[in-house]
Amino acid sequence: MCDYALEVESLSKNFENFALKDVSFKLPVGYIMGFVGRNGAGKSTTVKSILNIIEPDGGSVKVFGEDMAANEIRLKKTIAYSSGTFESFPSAETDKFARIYASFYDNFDFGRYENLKKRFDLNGKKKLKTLSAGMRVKFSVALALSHEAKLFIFDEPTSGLDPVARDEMLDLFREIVEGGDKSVLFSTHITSDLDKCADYLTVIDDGKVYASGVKDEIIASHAVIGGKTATDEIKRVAIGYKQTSLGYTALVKKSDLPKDGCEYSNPPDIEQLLLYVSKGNKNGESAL
Amino acid sequence: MKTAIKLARAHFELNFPKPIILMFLMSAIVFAPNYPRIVVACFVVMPVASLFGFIREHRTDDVFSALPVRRADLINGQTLFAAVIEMIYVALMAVFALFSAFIPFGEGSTIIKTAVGMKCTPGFFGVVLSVYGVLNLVLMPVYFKGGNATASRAFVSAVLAVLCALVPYALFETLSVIFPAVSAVFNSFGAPVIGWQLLILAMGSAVFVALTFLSAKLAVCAYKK
Repeated sequence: MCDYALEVESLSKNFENFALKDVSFKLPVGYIMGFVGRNGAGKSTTVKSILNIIEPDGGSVKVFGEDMAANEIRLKKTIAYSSGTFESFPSAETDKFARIYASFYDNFDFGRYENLKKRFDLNGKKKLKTLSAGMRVKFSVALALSHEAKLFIFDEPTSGLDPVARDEMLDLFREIVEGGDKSVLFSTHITSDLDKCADYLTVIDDGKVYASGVKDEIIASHAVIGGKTATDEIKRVAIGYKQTSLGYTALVKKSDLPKDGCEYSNPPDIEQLLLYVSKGNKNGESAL
Repeated sequence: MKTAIKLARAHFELNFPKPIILMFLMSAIVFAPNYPRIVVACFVVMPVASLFGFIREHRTDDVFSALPVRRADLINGQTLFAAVIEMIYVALMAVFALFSAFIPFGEGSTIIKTAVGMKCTPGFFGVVLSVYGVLNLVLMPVYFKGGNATASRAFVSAVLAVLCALVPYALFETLSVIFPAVSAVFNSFGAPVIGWQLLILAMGSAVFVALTFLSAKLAVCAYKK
C-alpha cells in the first residue's frame, strides 16, 4: 500500500501577474493536511493544478503513488473535490445533480447516498441555490463518500460558515480519515480550523511553499520573540517582524534564536505563523 | 465519445434555462415572406452563444474538470452540445418552412421571392448545414483558445464564426446568380430537382459532421490553461 495519498513535486504555473513556483508537499494516507495561505497566495491555483483543472507548466503530481497526468481518469475516480460552497448550477435540484454526478462514477452507491442525505438532513428536491453554505459542503461530502473516494480535496470549505457549521465540518473531516485509508487536503485562510483538526500543514505565500510537514513540528521549530527594539541581528534572522512604539515582535526559526534583544520567546500559533510569513521583512514599522 | 455524450447531456440538464427555448422560436421567422432564409438560419448563434455564456457564468468547467474526464472530453462535450442545439434549430426551421408552404405567401407560393434567391428546399438546408459546419470550425477553436473563454473572447468567436460561415453561403449564392441551372435547383420544388437537392442535403450533412469533429480537435489543441 502506498504511503502517500498525494505527492506534489515542483509544481509550477505562470500567469501574467502571478506564478506558482516549485510547490512541493506530501500528504500521507489517513491524515488531514491544512493548506494555508493568505488570499491570493496560490492555494486555489495549486489545488486546481493538482486536479488538472488548470494545466500546470511544470512539476508532477502523484496520487497513491501513480502519476496523475498518465492516469488522470482512473485516479480522478478516487478523488473527491469541492470548491468553496458549490456556486455552480444554482437551479439544479440536489438529486438531479447527484444523478448526473453518479453517471461518471462506476461505483456510485445510491443506497449510501440516500443514507448520507438522511444523516445530513438534505432534501433531494431542494435546489442547490436554496441550500445554506454548510449544507452545500455537506452535499459535496455526501457525493464524495458515495463513490468511495479515497482522497478528499476541499478548496476553502469553511469560508462563509458560522462557527457552529465550521465545527461540524471539521468533525466530518476527522470522521472521514478515522478508518486510516482516506485522506483530506483542505485549503483555507481560517487558521483556527487547522488548530482543531489538521495533522499536517503546508504554508504557502506568494506562490511558494514556506513550510510543509507535521503541524506540531512546524510550530515547534519556530518562535515568536519580542522586546523593546529589534537589533540588526533580529532583523536579519526574522522571517517577519513588526515594530511599534511599544516594542517589536518577530517570528524566527528556533535554530536562529538571537542572543540579544529578545525579552521573551513563545511558540507561535498558525495564525501568527501565517501573519509573519506573509509580512516578511518588507515591513518593519507599524502602520499605526 | 461516451464521456462527451455524458457531458453534453449534463449541459442539457444543468445549463439549459427554459427561457432559451424562446430563442429557438426565431426559426419561425421563415413564415415571413421575403425574409432572407439564411439570416434566419444564422440566428442559431443566439441560443448557442447564450448557452455558452451560461456555462461560463456558472463556471461549469471547474466542476466538470474535477470529474473523471479529460480536458478533451470537456471540449468535445461542449462541441456536441452546440451541434445538437444547431440540429434542433434547423429541424424546427424545416418544420416551420414545411408549414409555411401551405399558406398563401409561403414557400410553395409563386408570389414569394426570397431576397437572396433561395427557398427552404432540401438543397437550401444542405447549404445551411455546411454553413453550420464552418461556423463550428471557427467558433470552437477561437472560443477555447488559451483556456476557458472570457466574455470578450466568446463575443469575438461568435462574430468571427458568423462572418466566416457566410463565406460558403456567398459562394452558393454567387453560383445561383451566375448559373441559372443552379438557381433552379435551389429555388424549386418537385420531382425534377429533388434528387439534386437530396444529394446536396447529404453532402451538407457530411460537411457539417466532418467540420464539427475537426472543430473539436482544433479546439483541444487551442486550449491551454
